[in-house]
Amino acid sequence: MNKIKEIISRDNIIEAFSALPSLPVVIQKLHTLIENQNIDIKTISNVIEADPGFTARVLKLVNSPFYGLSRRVSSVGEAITILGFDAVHQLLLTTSMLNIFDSESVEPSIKDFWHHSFGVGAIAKHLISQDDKDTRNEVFICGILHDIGRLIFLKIDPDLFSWFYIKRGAATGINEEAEYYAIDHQKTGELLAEKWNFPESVVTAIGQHHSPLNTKKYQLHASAINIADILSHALAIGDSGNSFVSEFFPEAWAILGLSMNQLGERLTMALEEIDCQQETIKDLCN
Amino acid sequence: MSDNNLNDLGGIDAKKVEFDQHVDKCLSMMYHHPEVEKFAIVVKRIGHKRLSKKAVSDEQD
Repeated sequence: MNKIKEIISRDNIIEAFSALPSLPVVIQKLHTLIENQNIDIKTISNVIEADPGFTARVLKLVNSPFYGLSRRVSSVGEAITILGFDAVHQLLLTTSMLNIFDSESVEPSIKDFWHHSFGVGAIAKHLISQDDKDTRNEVFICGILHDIGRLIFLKIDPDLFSWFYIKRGAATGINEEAEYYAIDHQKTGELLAEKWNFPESVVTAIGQHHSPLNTKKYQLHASAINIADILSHALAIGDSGNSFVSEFFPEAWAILGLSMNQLGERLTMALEEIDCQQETIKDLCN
Repeated sequence: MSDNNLNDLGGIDAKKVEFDQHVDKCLSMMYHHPEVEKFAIVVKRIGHKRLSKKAVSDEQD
């Protein structure tokens, strides 16, 4: 019996999470501030500045050539004013995930995995109306985290992960995962997102991104991730670890309310963002 | 295929062909949905533009 199946049969899946690191305190505090809508620059700066690593990342980002500022920015508060809170939050979350799940020895490479996840986040964000800023920010985070359940399998047993997703050379859809691991990556991701106290919209989208019509609440989020996942695979952005592409639901596409012309425009914007930000994130993680 | 394209085999045109094959492989199981066939057209068009842009940028580097 494999390690994950053994844990699930012996106890329950929550047991498996005891092996996983906690979400960094800075991110937890930022989420609390967002939930309480207590988002003033000074409070956020204080939270970030309490952690030298996070402070360095924010300052490295704002002073990177991507933003082309003529002078050096030396405070987190000023960086937030220039970049905006959403950009800072997304950056910190993305780089935290890279640190938590970094592993050099497995295939697909973890960088390719995050490239795919970032691609899904960016595409999903652009599939949502520009007037709905809150939902755009939420679906970006949903995209970054949508396959996080797979990383639990990786963290618990890297060799098994490599064998199941790569070496076996067979289908690796959610049905095969459920049979092999006794749980699929949607469910494990949903449980981890709950453990980390992510907003309900994020928990739902992670748990339903292959079945967006199963949920009434946050169906727009789940649909955006489902369609963005298909498009990210088709555009060959990164590597999620298998060739399985989500089933297409015409209703999920209809919920987004876009024409094909609009889709073309939105994808072009998303790709520009993906290509620019990938270089920045790569740099920040080195 | 034009002479120009023949000269380019192994270059940008070959990459576009390879990209189209990738898109078809990814989406073909869902091509019975007319919307997905349209996705493929949009994705191929944008993917080709991206490859051309990258080729120009690589040449400048």
